[in-house]
Amino acid sequence: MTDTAASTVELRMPALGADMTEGRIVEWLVEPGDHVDRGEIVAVVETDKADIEIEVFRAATIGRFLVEPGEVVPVGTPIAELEATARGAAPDEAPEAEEAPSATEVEPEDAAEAPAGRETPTPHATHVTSPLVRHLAEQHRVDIAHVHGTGPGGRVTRSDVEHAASTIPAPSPAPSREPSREPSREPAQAPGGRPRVTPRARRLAEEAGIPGERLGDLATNGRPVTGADVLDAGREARGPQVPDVDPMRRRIAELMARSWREIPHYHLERRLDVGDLLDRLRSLNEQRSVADRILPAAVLLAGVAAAAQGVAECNGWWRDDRFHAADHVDIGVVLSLRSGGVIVPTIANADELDVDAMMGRLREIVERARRGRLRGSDLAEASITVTNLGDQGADAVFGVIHPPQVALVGLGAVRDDVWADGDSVRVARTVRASLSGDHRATDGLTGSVFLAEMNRALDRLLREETP
Amino acid sequence: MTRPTAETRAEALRAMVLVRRFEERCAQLYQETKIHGFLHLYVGEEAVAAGTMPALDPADNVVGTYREHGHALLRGVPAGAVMAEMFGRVDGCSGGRGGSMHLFDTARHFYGGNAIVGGGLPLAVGLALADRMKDRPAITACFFGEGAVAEGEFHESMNLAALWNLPVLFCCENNLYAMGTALDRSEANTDLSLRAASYGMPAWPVDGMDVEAVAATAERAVAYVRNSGGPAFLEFRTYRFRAHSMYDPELYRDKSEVATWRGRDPIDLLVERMVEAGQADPDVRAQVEAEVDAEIDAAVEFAEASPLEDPDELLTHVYADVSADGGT
Amino acid sequence: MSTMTGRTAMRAAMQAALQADERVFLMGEDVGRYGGCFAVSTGLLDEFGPDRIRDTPLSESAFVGAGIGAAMGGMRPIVEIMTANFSLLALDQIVNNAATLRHMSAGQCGVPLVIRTTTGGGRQLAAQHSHSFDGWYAHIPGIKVVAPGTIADFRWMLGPALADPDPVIVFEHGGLYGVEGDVPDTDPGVPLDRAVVRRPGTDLTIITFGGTLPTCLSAAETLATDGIDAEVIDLRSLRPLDDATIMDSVARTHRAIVVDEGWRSVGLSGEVSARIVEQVFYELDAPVGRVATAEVPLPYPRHLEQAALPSVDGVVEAARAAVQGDVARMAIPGRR
Repeated sequence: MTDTAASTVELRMPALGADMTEGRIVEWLVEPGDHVDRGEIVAVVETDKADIEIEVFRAATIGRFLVEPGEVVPVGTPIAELEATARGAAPDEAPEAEEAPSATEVEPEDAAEAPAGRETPTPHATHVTSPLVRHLAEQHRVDIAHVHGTGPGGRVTRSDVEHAASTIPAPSPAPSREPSREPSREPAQAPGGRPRVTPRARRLAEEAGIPGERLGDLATNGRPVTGADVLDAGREARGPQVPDVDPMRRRIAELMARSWREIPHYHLERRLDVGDLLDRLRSLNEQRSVADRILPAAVLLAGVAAAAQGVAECNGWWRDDRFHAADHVDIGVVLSLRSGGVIVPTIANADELDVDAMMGRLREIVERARRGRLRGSDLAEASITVTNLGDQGADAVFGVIHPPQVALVGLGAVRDDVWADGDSVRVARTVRASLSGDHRATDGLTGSVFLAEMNRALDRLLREETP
Repeated sequence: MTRPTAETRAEALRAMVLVRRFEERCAQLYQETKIHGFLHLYVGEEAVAAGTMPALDPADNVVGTYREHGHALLRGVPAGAVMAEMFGRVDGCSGGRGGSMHLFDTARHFYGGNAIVGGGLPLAVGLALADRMKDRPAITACFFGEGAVAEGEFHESMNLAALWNLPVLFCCENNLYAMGTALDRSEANTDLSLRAASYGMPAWPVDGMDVEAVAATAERAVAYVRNSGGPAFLEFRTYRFRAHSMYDPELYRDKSEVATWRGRDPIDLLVERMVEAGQADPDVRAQVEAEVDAEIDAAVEFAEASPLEDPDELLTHVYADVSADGGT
Repeated sequence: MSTMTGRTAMRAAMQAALQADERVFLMGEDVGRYGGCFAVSTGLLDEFGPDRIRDTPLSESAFVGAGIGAAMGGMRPIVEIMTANFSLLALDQIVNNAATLRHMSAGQCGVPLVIRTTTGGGRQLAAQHSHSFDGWYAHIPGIKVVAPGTIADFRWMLGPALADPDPVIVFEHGGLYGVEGDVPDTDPGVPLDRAVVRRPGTDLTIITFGGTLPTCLSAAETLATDGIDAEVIDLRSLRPLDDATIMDSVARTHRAIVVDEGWRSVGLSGEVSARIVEQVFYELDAPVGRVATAEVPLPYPRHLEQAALPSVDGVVEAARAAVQGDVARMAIPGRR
């Protein structure tokens, strides 16, 4: 390192105050070729507040000017080239390490930015989290260990927690009474137990003569009842004045009436102790990210599929005065629609689906049904139908078979129930499963076997699952 | 009184050069937009901090103003920590939260860093009160500019310190300008030492450009405060060579006045004295600068490498308990 | 259980604190020889001496700042600002130092300081001596603000305030110093950050604090005779606000009014109202009402002062309006 090592460096328009963004050179006070010492003034810069003299921060020879007097340039723009002359040795080798008045490697835009950087997030790489983020996670009942961290080093950030808290699994026809790890979205019921209705909705309901107790029914998908909902309902309520009857409603009416007319129904019910099953489900879900969790509904459907496979007499159609067994188990799933009425998309080949695939399929059809975008393939003919009113609180349901099928499975809500175990009594989590059967195709014994088979299948499910 | 030796002079020179070069580097970094907000530089006033800091014990308290980089450095706060604070990074001495005007290091009893003129004086009185009530032999050195003399808090604090006989050393750095207002345009009576004495405490004016005069007086004053337990006032007559802050066009003073004071650059004065006494070579300043520049380079590197605080931590350091966030 | 007044209760609280912890000391104007402007600290100078009961000059900024510095230096000062009206002179120290030091130093400096100050109007002390600035201070992050509304709280809130590592301002309503109340003999453990339901009810929630608590309780009695069962919440803590207690109550009663002796515009009552709307909007059967002081510097003559301040009648009227859903009558006094 020589005493007079020189290098060309740029003098840049300096920031001269807290909010300066650009400046104009008023005049240069030196000429190219002049030698200047550290601290010497080389130019006058006009800012929107005042004219300020600018200095060089090390000894140098003026090279050429890059900006002429009168030009306005942003802070950081190179305005002159200088040949910096070293005064005294600097400890590092590279000559360009000697700071010119405004070092070339400095980009004003970088200043103070050193972004923590969105590195490729490593899932679960580290669970170093700030107290605030942990506090937030607690509030939302989100398990930080399973939140995907997008901060540096895979750190879980606040927005990650909020995202996890808002990710909602597809709404399920089967109720989850479990205090599951999945953060529930806000219920249609407010904490006080009454439905969420905006003040405007209440006012409009009053004006329209809609009784207050009915307002909660207008809630859809957990959103609060708004004025728009009330207006819609009002229009529907003015029924007889509306010339067209909803085609779907008419079709359902015809089908149900026909079913009730033609099919001699019998009804069976069995209480299922699902406590262990739900425990196993919870353990499974604990190991998974929120997006991959399985709802009880999918598990119950898997049980139905197994039973339908095992008891083939319940899985098929009555036509031409005789029973035709189906080759596969295609389960029709009854879904309620916002506008009233139901739709019954089908999960095909349910007997071949594992629980994950069942969950995926269920999620799909629910989402599509919600958006009114069911495909033709979704509406293929089912070989057995499952209906579930448990999420509205019914303990059990004894439904009407969808012809030409011969069986309808109903599933009530998960309830705490007294359960006798030999001599002792305990509280169990139970589901009341019902079978409505076509007495032309099967009788009570077969129906009972179906329910027993379902019970056995549920008992076996999720046992081999490895985390 | 300790006589100056070649060693103490060399130390004083290094201290002043460290502050001078640090401040100049800050000016450059500010212009490069590495440092933001307000930046108040101590260039020209180095002798005051360099002369007073060595007179204090580690257990003594120091309260400063927004022009406190020199005081922090010479109190022992590492240059890297100070620079990182200027850059707003987590390794700054105030965790990046304070910036240039709010340097804190409580382990070194350095209590800021205060942006309100006069705002630190009551704090200094309180720190001294705590020492008194706890029977600790520490004193509190409170630095402020002559502009603070106009604030009510100055008069209240001087009075209270004298009334309750508290060990506060009031260090007034009279650089003749409170931002753009010259002393004689703001005070009916500009003899600050005289006015301070009227509060019932000893008061000395000192040539603030002569680091050895500063050191000698500071020693005496510190000893007085420590022995008597009561307050004292020092008026350091000094001058800042640069603007009040980075954006000041200095319309309020003549260039010739600045040039005159630059003729009494405290660093030059000391070097002259050392050279005359044969205690140093004529180019000693350049040598010390080179050493110091290396230290400052390292400090800048340290600051550059320090990360920005995670914004998720925003609501910390408001209360002791992070969840007590006012329910907000 | 004992009967005490506001002043004797606070005196007992300070006495206990001074006895228990030698770091605690009291300073302020006339707290020593005079016995305290409101006779709260009477006798303490004799008991604890001039080192621990310090009369200060009329230098609010200096002695509040000194309190901050002393707290930083390891003491646990109680700084008495004679009235909240004079606290303005120390506002810089409180807002720019006490509230910020922890933050500016990234946690190195804590300020375990208690400021006690007398607040409120209603004693014909005219415009400069009748202010309620509780809402102003509750605006500032970095400090905590509490207001005892019962005599029991006068006795038992000081301890937790002194134990808090952060600055706490205690607003004592002057009107409560002479009021008698039941005080538990042993420390019930008052949480500084929680509101408390003073009177359970079902028809609406009245939210208040400090000097207007007795007003609201009286109003509740009157409303009861009308068949309106009011729940009265004493905020106790103005910063932080206890959302949980407030929202739980409003979710049950579906109606709320906030009673605050500050001026209505841009005041604490607006903050509580905003929170209620944010958090339990769907529970509301009526807008949130506010009963606050009229937009006027407090006048000297009794009848005018009383007309300006929240009153039992004003609270009753606002409550009835809320129950009846009469929006126009819900802002009291709602002249502007």
